Amino acid sequence: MLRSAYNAIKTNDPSATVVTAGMAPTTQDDAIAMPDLKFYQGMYDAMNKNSDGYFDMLGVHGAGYAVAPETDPQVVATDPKLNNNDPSSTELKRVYAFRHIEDVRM
Amino acid sequence: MRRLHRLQSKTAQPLPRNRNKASTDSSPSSHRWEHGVARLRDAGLPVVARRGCRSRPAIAPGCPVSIGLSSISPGRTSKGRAKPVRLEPHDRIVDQVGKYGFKLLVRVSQDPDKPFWAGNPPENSQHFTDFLAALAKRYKGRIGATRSGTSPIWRANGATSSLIRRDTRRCCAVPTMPSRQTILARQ
Repeated sequence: MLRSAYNAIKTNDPSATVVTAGMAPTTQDDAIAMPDLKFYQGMYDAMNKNSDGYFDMLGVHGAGYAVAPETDPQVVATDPKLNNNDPSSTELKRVYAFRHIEDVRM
Repeated sequence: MRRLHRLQSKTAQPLPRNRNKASTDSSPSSHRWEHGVARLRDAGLPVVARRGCRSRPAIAPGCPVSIGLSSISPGRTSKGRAKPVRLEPHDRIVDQVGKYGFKLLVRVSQDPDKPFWAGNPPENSQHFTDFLAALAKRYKGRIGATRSGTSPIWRANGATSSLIRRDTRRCCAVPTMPSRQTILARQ
């Protein structure tokens, strides 16, 4: 769908910039949702690790949860008050930090 | 953004608490909401054009600012059916934003058939593709970026990493377009 959407937009407006959907950060991993890093990995695998013809910019949801943007993701992941008491592993709970965006960039 | 909210109280009718209501309700209150937001934009755009974003002191007065504010979708009736697509309100937005020299970041998160969300993919991806093609044709050259999703986006490459760190405060400015700044207005 991403490739066909890209082609549809570029065919009608070659100067347009196409951005992927921003994934909502979550630790949920079931039939309804999956962690954003897992989705991005699957997306890049499906593109054979080459985004040419699929998008111009990668959209990322950077909302965070309950702390200032500059808060260290590791601090957020280890404090239940800052990660909504999420029972997931510490590594997954980094999604509650705004700087989780840096995880995606890596 | 806070300034825009203050302007709203002076220039537009109050927004309902449930913002989703506007896209699912064909009642008069839905019309008032749409009208109120339009008036808010009319008041806010010249202010942003003149002063930039209050929480971004790096933006000098007169600096070009990009605005992403339009979720293009058909909306739903109270019975859950898709409404006929009305692009006239969006024509107005594109006109107004262009008038003040901004660039638009447009979110397209629904197709004319149904909204899609986690666990609820589109029934026919070709319909969504056709919808995007129609939008791209209609607004050719007038939309800076198009995406599907709901919140701020960031360029995902090393060249903009410093911008990402610098621009994260207060969730106001988003560096999506070179040499421009993007403000996500709420709709």
